[in-house]
Amino acid sequence: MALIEFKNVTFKYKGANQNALNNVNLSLNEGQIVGLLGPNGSGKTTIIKLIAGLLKNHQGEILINDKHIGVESKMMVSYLPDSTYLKEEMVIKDVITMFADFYENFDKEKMLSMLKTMDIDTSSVIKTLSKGNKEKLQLALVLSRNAKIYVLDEPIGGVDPAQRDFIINTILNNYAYNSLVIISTHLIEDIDSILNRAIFIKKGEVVMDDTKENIINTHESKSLNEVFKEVFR
Amino acid sequence: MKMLLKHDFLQTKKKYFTLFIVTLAISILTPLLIWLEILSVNNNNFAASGILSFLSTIVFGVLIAISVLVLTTSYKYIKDSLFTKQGYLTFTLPYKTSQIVLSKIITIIAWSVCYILVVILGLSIMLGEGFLIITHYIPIEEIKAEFQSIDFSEIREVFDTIYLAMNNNNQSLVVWSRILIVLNIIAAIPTYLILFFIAGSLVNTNVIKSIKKNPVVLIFFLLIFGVHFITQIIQVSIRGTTLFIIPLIVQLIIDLAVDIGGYQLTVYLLEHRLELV
Repeated sequence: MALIEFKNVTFKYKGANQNALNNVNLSLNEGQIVGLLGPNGSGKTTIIKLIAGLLKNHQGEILINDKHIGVESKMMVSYLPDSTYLKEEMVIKDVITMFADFYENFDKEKMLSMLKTMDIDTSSVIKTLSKGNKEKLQLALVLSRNAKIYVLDEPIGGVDPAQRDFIINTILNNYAYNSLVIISTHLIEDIDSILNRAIFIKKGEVVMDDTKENIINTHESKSLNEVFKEVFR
Repeated sequence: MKMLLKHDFLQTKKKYFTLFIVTLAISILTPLLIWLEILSVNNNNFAASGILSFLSTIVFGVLIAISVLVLTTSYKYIKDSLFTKQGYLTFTLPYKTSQIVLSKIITIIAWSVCYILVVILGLSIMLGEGFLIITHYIPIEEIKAEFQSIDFSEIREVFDTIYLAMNNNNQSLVVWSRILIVLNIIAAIPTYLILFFIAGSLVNTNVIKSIKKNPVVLIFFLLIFGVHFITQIIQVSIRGTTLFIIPLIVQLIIDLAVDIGGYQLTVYLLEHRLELV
């Protein structure tokens, strides 16, 4: 039984002229770091929002741990959006208390340890943080949950290369092993080293879905980034 | 749902408490300003009197502004937590949409009731201070004598007679109509809030296209007008009845229908049509 299953999923935003996703079929298992790769507007965020339960009214079926999306799946999925979703006036320690209250699987000690590594003071107000630190804070909140599924939407977009390495190492060192990590990005070079599976999405359709090893072997040992450029030329 | 309520209260308490404290401070300040103004006039210090009069006007304006701020604070909290980027967190919490909406309704109603109590307390403080100021000029025995000369039981008898006549001189109907008046007040408290939720949901789920700068407020007032219009149509059509109790029952049914139906509609729209971008 797959952890996440998409069966013939089609989705169209209200007022849009074309489908954001067309007949997408996916089967994702635990113990993988999956890259959801594609250019802007290809449908990566749509897939992520469907998994997180933010979008409804799709055609087809989406199952998480063999159940439809609902309260149970939201407890299993730890979601990082591509922008700040925290109330700017909140103090960080109050946000930590909130997450601990809402999520049974939230590890407060792990969170505090990550913040210490990131040099972020828990008594700070969120709006006083830099953009990079806000993103790190949100990432720490997401990774501090011992979730079955981590869904990270563009975690390294909009930060400098040094921060990107830090974020990637943080992901690698802090996610719950035997969980499923889905990372959407178009910055493939940075994320290449940690992926073990890649899904290429083009105009709402899955054009490639395979392990990184197989993709490289079937494309003359080119890197994932080179294959990406070829596919999306 | 306990945690939802806890954090809805925690996230709003600072703003509401600030407004409550300012309201009470103004309640204490206003009679003092008026008294100082009277003293200035008595001492022919018209410049000071003018300044104090101006300050009293400002203070009164602030009191009105606070009432508006209590409403806008509620409006902003609903809008920010449901229809902006914060909605990404709200709608990915492990709770049903119905629980999330209900928690916000309960929180805002609780703060609104607290504000009403604060206003009552403020008015009591103002009256108390005003009484103390008056006793400075008029002996307390004279004031007591004036009050004692008013026959309050006569006034009450007049109201009771009118009330009995409105209920066909039926004592049990009088009791029921009083119960219905209280129930109507209780049912009306969430009605306006739920109409606001409906307005916000209709606009932010694109059921009603956003054509003006602040369509939610426009739709909200249109909904209020619509509900009152329908209520009046129904009340007018049953005006032939001599029973005072019937319009009360009609009003209660309409309010409950708006409360329950509006809540279900809001949950449906947020559950099935909201696309946060």
